[in-house]
Amino acid sequence: MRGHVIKNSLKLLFGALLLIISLFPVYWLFVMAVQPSENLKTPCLYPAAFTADNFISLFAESGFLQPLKNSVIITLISLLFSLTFGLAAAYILARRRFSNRWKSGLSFYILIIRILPPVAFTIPLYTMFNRTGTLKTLFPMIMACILINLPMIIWFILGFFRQLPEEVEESAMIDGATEWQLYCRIVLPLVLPGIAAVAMLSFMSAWNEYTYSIIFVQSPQKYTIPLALAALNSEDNLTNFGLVSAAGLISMLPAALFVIFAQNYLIAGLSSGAVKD
Amino acid sequence: MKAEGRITTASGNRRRFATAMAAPPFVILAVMTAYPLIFTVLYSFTNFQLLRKTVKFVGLKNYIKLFTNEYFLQSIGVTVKFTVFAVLFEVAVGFIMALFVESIHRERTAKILRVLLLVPYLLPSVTVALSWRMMLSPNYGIINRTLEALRLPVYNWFSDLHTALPMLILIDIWQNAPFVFLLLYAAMQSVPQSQYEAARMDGASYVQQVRFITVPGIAPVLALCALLRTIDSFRIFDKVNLLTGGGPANSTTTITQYLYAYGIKNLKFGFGSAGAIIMTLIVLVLSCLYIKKAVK
Amino acid sequence: MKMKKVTALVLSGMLAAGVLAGCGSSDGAAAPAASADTQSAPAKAPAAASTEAAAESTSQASEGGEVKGDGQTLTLALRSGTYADVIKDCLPDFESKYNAKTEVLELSEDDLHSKVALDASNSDGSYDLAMVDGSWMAEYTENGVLLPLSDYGYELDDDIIPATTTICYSDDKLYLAPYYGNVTVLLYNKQLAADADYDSGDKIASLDDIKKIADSAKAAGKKGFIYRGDTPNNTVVDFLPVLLSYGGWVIDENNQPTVNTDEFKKAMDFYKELVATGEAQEKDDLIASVDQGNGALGVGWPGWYTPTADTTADYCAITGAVEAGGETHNANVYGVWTLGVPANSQNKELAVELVKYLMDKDVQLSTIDNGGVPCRYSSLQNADVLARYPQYKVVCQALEGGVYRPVISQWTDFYTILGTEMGNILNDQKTTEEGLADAQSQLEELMSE
Repeated sequence: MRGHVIKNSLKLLFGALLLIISLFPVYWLFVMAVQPSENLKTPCLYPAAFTADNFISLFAESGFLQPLKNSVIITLISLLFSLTFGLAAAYILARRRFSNRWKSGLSFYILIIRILPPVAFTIPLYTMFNRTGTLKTLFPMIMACILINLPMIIWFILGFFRQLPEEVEESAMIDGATEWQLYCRIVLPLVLPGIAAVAMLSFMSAWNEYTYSIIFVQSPQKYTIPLALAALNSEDNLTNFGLVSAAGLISMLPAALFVIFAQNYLIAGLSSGAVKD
Repeated sequence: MKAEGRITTASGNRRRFATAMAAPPFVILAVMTAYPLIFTVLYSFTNFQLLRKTVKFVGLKNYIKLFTNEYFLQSIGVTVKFTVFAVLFEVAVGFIMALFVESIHRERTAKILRVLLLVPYLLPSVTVALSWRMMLSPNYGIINRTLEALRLPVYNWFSDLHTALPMLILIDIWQNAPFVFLLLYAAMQSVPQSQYEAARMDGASYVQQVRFITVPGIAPVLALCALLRTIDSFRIFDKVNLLTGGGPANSTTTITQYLYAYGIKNLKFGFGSAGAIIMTLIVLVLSCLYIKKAVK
Repeated sequence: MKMKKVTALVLSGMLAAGVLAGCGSSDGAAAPAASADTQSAPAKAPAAASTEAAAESTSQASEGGEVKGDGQTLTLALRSGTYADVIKDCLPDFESKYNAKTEVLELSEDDLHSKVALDASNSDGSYDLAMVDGSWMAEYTENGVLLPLSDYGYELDDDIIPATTTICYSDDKLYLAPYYGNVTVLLYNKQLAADADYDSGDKIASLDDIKKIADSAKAAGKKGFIYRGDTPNNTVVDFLPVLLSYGGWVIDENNQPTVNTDEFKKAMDFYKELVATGEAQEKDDLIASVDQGNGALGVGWPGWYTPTADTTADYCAITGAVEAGGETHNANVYGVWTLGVPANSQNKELAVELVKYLMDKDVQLSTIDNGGVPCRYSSLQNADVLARYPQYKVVCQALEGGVYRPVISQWTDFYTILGTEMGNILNDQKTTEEGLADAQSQLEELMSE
């Protein structure tokens, strides 16, 4: 009984420590964001005064709303497509019954794409989008995010599909289910936790995409959040840490909301009970 | 006879289904990668400079230049050091985090913890870099203030030859261990509970359960985590560029930072492409073990 | 058709200018009184007065038939920060006068450099006006990125500080207009300087004086001289004023590297001693150190700090002498932001009009209250301006004695190599001799490519 108490309090301590380390830098952003800039020179563990100025000027003067909109559009559209395509591709690659002599070659190719540094793609892609006249739209950015996320989704979900015993599908097939029904009704629900996790990851990388955007984005109307953030940080001026912190906090919000949403989905997937017996 | 006919239709359907499922993603990837890849390889044999109108074929000159350049060789060393330490610690810390959250039986607490522990990963790299820079500043940084108050030694973290790289590694671990945590945690959910129950009946200790059930159960995802983190650590750029710019004395110049300085910033894309190809080859070699297993 | 269009434009331009000049006159009368009693608060009145003057000057231009615009949109690629803010404040007025719309893309220095270059490969350019750093000039003009402004009827006037115009020409054609006067200055903590018996910036007349202040601060347990060691570019830029003071430079007149000369070595040895009194810090820390008195000195830009009588820190121009009374050199390094028009702009004429408008004497004067630093005597020596912003005297001195970074197309590579070797020297990874010899041989190879 005493051992149990010690174990629990150790656990509590460990959890608290983990949380402090994880959250302190974010808390610090908050402290910097809500204080008037005079206070920032002499740091204190909690805000000495509160102001909303940084947030107001972020939207009123720095026009943060448009980048926010663009980032949401780019992220959601690219997520939709990369998830749909990624899951489909991974399923085909994972199942032995869809035999194909190209398969190992394709797996290898996808891995290569994931490995290649973006540096290797940006310039030729720029010329490609330029020639097709799509450079002034959000299309190149959406495609870039799909390019980043698709290989990751395929590789990630592949592991989940491979873990599912093929017998489940075979028995369903004997019951007369078509491939399509099998995929939608039986296989996908079983990997829901995986889907939720990979959706979170893809959301993050699309939301934070910087390398491609800096080359592809041609007009201020098409700015994304990371670009707007980077523009706030300039070498020749004193950095306005209050403003940067406020922007940093806001840049985190949609992702946090998404995670909370996907978290519930993850729970639903788990409680469907098919995976855990 | 009859049975054979049915099988043929079934396999025909199956092939059609497979094609319909796999064609769109592969067509997109082919268009988005084949074209740029061909050009990157071609560029790497030329002196292509964006502004210069003439492009000349220079053979292996870019590659030779890279391999005889002391900075480039140094940058490979820095990158390997960064990758090894970052990946090792990220996987270890992520694994411990996952075990910890998994061991919490109160559904509510676990759920909240999962979200909170993920927060570092939710921040854009730019924000992460700026936040840490503020905290580590030798003047107004809260960390040096605290260390001073505790009478511990303080450093000029990003300008000191001995602390700059470890600091970058630390920040990378802080940001990316939650990523590993998330993947491993999700994988742990798919390990059947019955196996644990059986082990407990046999009197297996917690460590034994972890060692013989959890680890084998999540092994593929563990390997995937290590691979993904290796790939991403290997091309670490944004944090380096924002926090140290490769300094002091090149001690934090990773390969991408080097390529950025000598192949992108000066618009010498021919040279940069050669570097990108070499980098790809190195990562391929590093991850060949995994690839061998995965591509089977 | 064309004739009709031009006539319509000229007429609308005249009308717009006339209307503005009309309302301006009543404001103008109130202006002097208003500017006299507003000392610290941004005075709007002088700005209004200068707008009126600008309107008059443009109305003259419109009679010459040069004002065009039929509601098209000009896209400006600008350096983010104050530089862009100053221009953005002027745009609404330009838009209404010239019947045009504008769109501003704010970028960091590196991104601006590569974006303008990337866009240059398109036949239809996306940008109509770009901010250009002096050090990109050679690269851009050699490859036809920029439009010769002189071919479109724009020339620089005499009011502009001559040293700032030296890089604007190529083959006798004008390509760039010096817009924002950014130049290195010596940032120092007043108290720590006074402790070493330097109670005013004017007394810091040589490198010796700088060293004395740094030593005295170090003896008092503070940091002496602080430099930016984070990127090769910053490492080089902070060192250049010292190098120039020793009479050295990074290239000779034939664009051959000269980093292994006696002057360079002497400067480097001195700099190493100077740096040993302090440490490397990132920009925001450097400013905070000097402001809070944790550090004594550093090389900085005027945009970093606004000194007043009450602030703890101030800045002064670097005189370019090694010892008191010694030979002086132009030792302040320019970071002037110039305006250029990309050669593939879709609205060349109107873009040149925008350059003319932004470079206008009175428009430039009006930007001062928003943080602008024109490279003009009429602005920087204006009694009204100096009464409100005394530090502009120092900025003007620094601009007069300024030097551009070398105008060579390989400059990006050049500073990367030099800065890296300097980092090795300053961090004791190499001796001065080794580091400079290595730099020299690499730079020779670079320049011979």
